[in-house]
Amino acid sequence: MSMDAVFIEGKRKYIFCSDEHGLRVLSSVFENVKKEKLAYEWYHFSAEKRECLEEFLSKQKMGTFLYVELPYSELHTVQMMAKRIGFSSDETQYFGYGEKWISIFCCRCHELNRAEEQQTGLTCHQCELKLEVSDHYSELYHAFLGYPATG
Amino acid sequence: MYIEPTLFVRVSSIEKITKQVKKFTLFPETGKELPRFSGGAHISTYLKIPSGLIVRQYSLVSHPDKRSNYEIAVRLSENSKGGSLHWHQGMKVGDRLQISYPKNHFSLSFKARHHVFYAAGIGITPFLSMMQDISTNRQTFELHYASKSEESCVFHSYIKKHYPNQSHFYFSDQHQRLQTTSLANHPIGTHVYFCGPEGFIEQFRTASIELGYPILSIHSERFSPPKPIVLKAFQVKIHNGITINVSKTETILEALHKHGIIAPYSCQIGRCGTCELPVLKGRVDHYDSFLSDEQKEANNCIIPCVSRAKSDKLVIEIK
Repeated sequence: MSMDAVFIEGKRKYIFCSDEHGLRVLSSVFENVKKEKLAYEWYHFSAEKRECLEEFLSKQKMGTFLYVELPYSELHTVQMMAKRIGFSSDETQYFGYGEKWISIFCCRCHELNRAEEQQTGLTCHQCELKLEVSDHYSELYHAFLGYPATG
Repeated sequence: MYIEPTLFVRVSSIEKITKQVKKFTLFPETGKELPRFSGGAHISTYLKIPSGLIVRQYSLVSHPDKRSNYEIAVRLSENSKGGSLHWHQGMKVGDRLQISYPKNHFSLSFKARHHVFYAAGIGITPFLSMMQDISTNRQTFELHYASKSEESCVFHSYIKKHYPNQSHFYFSDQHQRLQTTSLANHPIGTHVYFCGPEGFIEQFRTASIELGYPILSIHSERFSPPKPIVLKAFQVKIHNGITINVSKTETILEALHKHGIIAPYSCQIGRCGTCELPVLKGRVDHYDSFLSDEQKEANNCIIPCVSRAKSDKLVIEIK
């Protein structure tokens, strides 16, 4: 996930998806798209409209580029939805804001635990194993692997 | 000449499927099952003809799960240098030949949500096994297939029978034209695959890129290497000191083989990278579709089956 939105040239259409607060990093790209008179749509996201977003994204054609800026709590769901529909990493840019949580995969019971981004250790809430947060990230679980804490 | 590991097969049947195309069934000589392959795979065939051994690549058109035999379809080329001519006029049922293990430089994308195949003429061949693979895995696809006429349309009745809802035919004698405009209608998550003459592939590749398709969603298979813009003779010096002249009409690989230098190779169309060699000195004119832009820019390796020299001399390393 990059920190700044980058304008990707040569697309037939651009989609911007954000809630009312999430205009922080997309505005400069949006201005560029408007200036170049390129085709675009802005999807105003809310949790209630999540299903509609899926329908909306499913109707898009090849050559569409998707920019999303949402709270971290929503971002992953939208990211997974877009991926399921068929948007590849070359056709999307995602930006999160607000409180960021990460998931930790317990190596013993395979439960997913929630942790703060900077947290280095925790206790698995299911099997109570003390875990050390590794940098092994799983795309499948969207989680970091938690090893048994040695300290 | 370098020959990769091969299998011995015999021709068990020859079927004329259009005026210019014959289908050959190849049975393993050992009686054991042949290796399974994936949709889009091809084999190299080694043909012994009076002028020497020639190597030609053909897509496998049989079902990827069928291991008792392989099938290939060969179009008689108007400019045949011996390959298709031998298949059409010299090959008989019972003949023995060597083939490579199946190779695939044109495989289906695992990431695609929908596959769209664009074929022109004999370019249909890799798509037959791909469609069979997809049907087995219950994924979705469509085929857009251009041919001069229904009569010359290879595997027309087979495709119509097995994939009636996914296939679209375009016969130029009926003034039907396969146009790039259909690329605009494919849903997000589509991967497109092009196979046919060079001009056809380039036209559809360019149109896809202009529409904004990501490069990784565009796949193509060429029958022949791209034609060099400038054809000039040059010299290749091997790091042990031998200097070889490469004429306008031959490739570096052909020149190396002519001088008895063992240089492995496979596809001969700049696709597989088997023949890659380090370049120590000189400027390379890249024509392959194997090296990345960064590798080409670095100018320290060459695909000698297609690429040439920009400078008068290249110094290459062969171990």
